Amino acid sequence: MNNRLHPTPMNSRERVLAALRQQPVDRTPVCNPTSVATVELMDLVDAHFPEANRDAERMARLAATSYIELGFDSVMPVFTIIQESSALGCDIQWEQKDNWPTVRMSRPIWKTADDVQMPDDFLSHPDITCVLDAIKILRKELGDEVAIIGKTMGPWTLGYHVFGVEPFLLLSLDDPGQTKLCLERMKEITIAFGRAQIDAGADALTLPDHATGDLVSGEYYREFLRDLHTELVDEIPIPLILHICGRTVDRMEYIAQTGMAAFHYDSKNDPAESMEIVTDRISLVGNINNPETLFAAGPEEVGREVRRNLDAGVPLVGPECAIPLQTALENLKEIPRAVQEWHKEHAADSKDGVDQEKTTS
Amino acid sequence: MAGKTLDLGRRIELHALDEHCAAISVALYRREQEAGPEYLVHSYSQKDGTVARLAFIGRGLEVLAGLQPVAERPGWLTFPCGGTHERALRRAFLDVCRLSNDEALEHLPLQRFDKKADCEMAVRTRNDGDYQIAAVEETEMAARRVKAIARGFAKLFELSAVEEDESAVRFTCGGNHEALLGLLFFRAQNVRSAMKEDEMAASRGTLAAPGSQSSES
Repeated sequence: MNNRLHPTPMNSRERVLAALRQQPVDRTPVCNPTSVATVELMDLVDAHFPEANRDAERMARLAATSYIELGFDSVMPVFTIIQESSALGCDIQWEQKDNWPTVRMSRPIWKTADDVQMPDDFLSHPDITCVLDAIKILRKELGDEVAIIGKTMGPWTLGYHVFGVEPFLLLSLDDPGQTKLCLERMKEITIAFGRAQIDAGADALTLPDHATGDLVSGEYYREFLRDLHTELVDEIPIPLILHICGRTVDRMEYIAQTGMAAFHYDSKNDPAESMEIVTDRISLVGNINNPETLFAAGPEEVGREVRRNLDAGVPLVGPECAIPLQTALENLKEIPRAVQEWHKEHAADSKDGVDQEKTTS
Repeated sequence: MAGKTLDLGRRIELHALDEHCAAISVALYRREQEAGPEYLVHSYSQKDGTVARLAFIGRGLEVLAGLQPVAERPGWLTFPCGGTHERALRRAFLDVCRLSNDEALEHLPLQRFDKKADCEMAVRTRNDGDYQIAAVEETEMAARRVKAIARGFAKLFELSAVEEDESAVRFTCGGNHEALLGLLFFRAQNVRSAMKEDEMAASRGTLAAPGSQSSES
């Protein structure tokens, strides 16, 4: 962990990028590697799901609210986890304003590694170009004030979407070689979309790869994904934030070996325990609980979780995952407020400490 | 760049998608004042019809839930007793949001047919601030249903049980809330479906990891 404070004030973009590089910051950045869209923010800027997932202008307008309205240090326009899968030909249920689009995984599009192929027009598919255009709009509108984080799905998640969850997991048990071949080929999709977002102006990329604690063990992560994620770090030349839901302490050691800039981690993991595992090899971000705290509790509980992370030395703070669309705005605004308050208190504490030292010497 | 969101206190309930007004979201906010909590029906939408819709829902809470306007703060509402009754109010808000603007707003009766008891059930106001659930006629299931409905009011809306009378409940303030009880009567008769509805509403809008999504999706 890097405890050094940056001597001069930083803007939001500088703060996030420094924390991802484990460099000194003026205060802990508030970062949302996944979505912070809510139905009230959709109404505020007249950019609703599902259109805000398919139209660049609306997508950018809604994404900007995390900086302008909530006071976060980053914006993230790729709210869904299905943009690539849509471009690959999966059947998508786009849903309404108050719900998330999903892939109909009961209707898989591929069966074997031979089927895995990125379509020639993948990067010009409308559900891909809207993301690229939204990033360009955000860069133009917000300049270098705020970190723009994109998202490219990892091959394990793509595997669930294109093969179906059960068939893909069964394949990994029955034929690990075939599974690795599938992952190797799908990796190219992750790289292509990631690089396109860099060209569009993204500062960092979230890389969700749902080898989640409830379905996949830590050893599974090591066998199938650790080396592949290391390769992705080499292939995509901006900071990558790996996102995996659930309890993941059993694989954090392996994740820390990949060279990812950060790991977006779930509230099922204790911040201090997690920091102990990753040490200074990788930044942690996230951990504020969604269903019980941000959605169902109030600002006091949100503030407590923020402090727990700051006390443990977690370098970037934010929600653990895409927040529920019905989350109250006052709970989200509490995250940056609590971060600032914590830093004020600790600045006062360290000043008191200095004064005390002067008095005693 | 200045934000446009407002500090309206704590949001206590949200109707995420209003089918009667351009799919806007409508929220109920609560702010503490000296005389007790005050409530505001609010939407961030600028769509046509929003202002009229908010006015209708506010008026609905006055008529159907017994709230009254706060004189010095237009749009804000409060209970005459100065109490909170948050769970009851949240449910009342969601039920009022289901009404379209052209529906007549009238107190709902304190007597309803109960399918399980196969008879009319009534909520009777007693002088001591208690409300007694009573069967209008005797049937095989009536006595059990009277107690079940009383428990339903207590469980769903945080009314207190009355000692040594399983058929009676009271609000913590001891005040008169007949309008609110009329609105919530149907829910107290159908506790399980009310709870299931709450669970479904809570899970909607939450993104599940692909491995946790149902096989149908």
